[in-house]
Amino acid sequence: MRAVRRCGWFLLVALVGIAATACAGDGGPLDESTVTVFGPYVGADADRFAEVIADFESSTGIDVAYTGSVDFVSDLRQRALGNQQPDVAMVPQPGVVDTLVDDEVLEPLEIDTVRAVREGFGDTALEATPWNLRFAVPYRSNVKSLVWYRPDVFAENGWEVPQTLDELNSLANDIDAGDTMVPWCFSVFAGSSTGWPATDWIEDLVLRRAGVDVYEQWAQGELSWQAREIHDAFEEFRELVVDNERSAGGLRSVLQTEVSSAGDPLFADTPGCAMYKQASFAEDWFPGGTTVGPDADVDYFVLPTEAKDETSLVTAGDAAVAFADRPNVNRFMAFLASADGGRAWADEGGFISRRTDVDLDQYYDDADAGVAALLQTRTTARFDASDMLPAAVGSDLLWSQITDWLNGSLNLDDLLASLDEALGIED
Amino acid sequence: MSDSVADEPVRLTSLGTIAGWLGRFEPADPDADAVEAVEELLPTGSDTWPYLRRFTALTALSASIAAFGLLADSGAVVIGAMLVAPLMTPIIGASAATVTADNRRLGRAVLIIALGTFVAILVGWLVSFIAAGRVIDVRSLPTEIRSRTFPGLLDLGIAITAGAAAGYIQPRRSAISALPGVGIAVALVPPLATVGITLELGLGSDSRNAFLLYLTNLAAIIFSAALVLLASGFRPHDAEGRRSLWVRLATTLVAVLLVAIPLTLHTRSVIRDLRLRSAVVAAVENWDPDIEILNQQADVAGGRAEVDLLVAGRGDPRPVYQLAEDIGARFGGPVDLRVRYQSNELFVVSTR
Repeated sequence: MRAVRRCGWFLLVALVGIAATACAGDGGPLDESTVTVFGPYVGADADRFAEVIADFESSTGIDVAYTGSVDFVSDLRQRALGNQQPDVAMVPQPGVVDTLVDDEVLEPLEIDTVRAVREGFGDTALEATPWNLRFAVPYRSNVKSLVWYRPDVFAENGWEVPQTLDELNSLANDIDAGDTMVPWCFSVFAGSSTGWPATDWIEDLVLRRAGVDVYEQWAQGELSWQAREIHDAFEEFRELVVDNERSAGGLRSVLQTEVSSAGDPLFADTPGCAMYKQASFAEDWFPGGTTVGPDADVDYFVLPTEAKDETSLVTAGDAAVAFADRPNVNRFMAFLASADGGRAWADEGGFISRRTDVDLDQYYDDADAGVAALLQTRTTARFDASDMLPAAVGSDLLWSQITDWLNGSLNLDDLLASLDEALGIED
Repeated sequence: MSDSVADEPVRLTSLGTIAGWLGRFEPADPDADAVEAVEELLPTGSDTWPYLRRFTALTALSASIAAFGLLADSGAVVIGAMLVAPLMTPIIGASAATVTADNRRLGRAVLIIALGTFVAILVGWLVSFIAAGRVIDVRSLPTEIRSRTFPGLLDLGIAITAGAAAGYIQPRRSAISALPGVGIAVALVPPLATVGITLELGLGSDSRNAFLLYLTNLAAIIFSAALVLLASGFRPHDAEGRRSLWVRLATTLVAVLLVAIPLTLHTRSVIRDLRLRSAVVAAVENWDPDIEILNQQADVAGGRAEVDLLVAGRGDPRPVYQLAEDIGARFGGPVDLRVRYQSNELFVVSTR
């Protein structure tokens, strides 16, 4: 009977144990020593940037709180002017940095941080940099001029990777003439940033058709948007990519499909498009497990130029700027200026830098290393022109008007004239 | 020295006093009627096959009623199925065999339970095969099915108390009219029918969850009914059986604990989701008191809050990053927020 009594106790205690549940703790307000960072990275990119932050936190003990928004540019402008500045912002447009400098809301970098940037990037990479290096730490780079395609689909249809712009036009015509798929995957819908993918196409065409000098004049606001070269690039883009339903889903899809989903038809069992021109960061939008390479699921070629032996790149990227001059903030900026500042992201994939003190074999995969090699070896590389414009034009007016032009509610001459007017350029 | 200590009066704490009282408690042997009522649970000899036929038929009918009720999203029909279900009988039989250390009866009970489990799942699968494709959308399962694919600790609590009630009622014929209530409370066949339906629909995760609910009920009923039968005086007849009693009850307890682990995790996730949802509502109120939440999906996955909101308001919305930061501060972790904003404007038109 003693065994029975012992059982009673044991089971009574067990019953109480079974009934117990635990609750998680509450979060609290941010400590004042915390460095607040605001940027455009959301979703998977935010996760990867969080790895960078974790590296910094573990080595310094300083807490960093990151917030990312797809409406980053307009939100940042509002925060900068509304006394709600973050400590640090990761800005994807040099023009926005210039505007913030003009607004006198940014803190200059410490001299050691400036020196670290110069040593890490080298003179060649910084020669044509659009960033104001007194305030900005160049961080992540990407190449806009890539055309993604499926090697298996090209092989199946007997298509060759085009070596010149004329060959690209011929290939697009051939694909269009067939009845299996359309030449392009393309869309511009991106919430308040709708329109930006179209600007990338036009910039690439200006750089290729009109040359570096004209491109630089245009990007610096020294060439009228109504100039023949710019007008022709708009027309060529529309004819090559948009008109006559040359993009998957037609104009309706161009205007309504999320930019991050624009490439989906490329990966369908029955492909909806043959080519997808999008920046190196588009790899993040591909279906999970997609491999990149000549014998893999998808590969890329650089949008060709007029001549076979030339290559030109339109590039873009992000830079860190500081709104506060506190020791913790300065340490974070110094960290981002070092080779360690991007290592955790590069380990996860999707981070490419123009730094010369990072070896190509340190990148996540061959695709990232390939794009990094492009940045290191191509001499004709120019920064995204629209990103260099003042924010009110490059990140607002241009995007909205180019969308109106695509949907037919604005004609090209009026679009170009209004941009000249906004930039104070006389025709 | 040791003698003087032994002579001192023993001082007990309150807990010790209660322990002493419980230790002295020794239930009287159950009367013959109580023993007979419990032994009748598992017929033997020539009664076995008629019982099995009756058991299989009732289980199949009950599972069929339950499956149709689940697909029709009818709580009343599902309750009806619970009243027809005969599964409680072998389960209480297993409890009684556990505390009386009757291995033969225990083995028989387990086999009958396994038979009932198989039949109920099979019937659920067949009903779904015949009817489900025509009446339900797998992306939007009926509430009656969905509610059986999210077991939590509350279900464990229900099963433990219902099992205790069954263990109390079964040996007392005067209280036997209360037994159907136990069947309704604990619901054995509907989870099995749900397993069959979701298996047929290819919803493996939902199947596992529904089966976990069934296992929860099964383990908890056997355990708590055994405990109550023990308290009612049922115990092994021989010394060897008494010695093994501890092991037997510990085994049933381990089974309960094993199902309690996923239930605890699941309950924690439900609590986290509820906390997150209230944090979202409070943050939206703080963000803009005039905003109306039209639809909210908020879940915690991997420690991160994933929030999808459809809101309506007038004018331009305030910056959404402020809402995300507020949700993050209230929730206490990273947040992925998607907000769709609708302009809430009233247009009034009259024609004459």
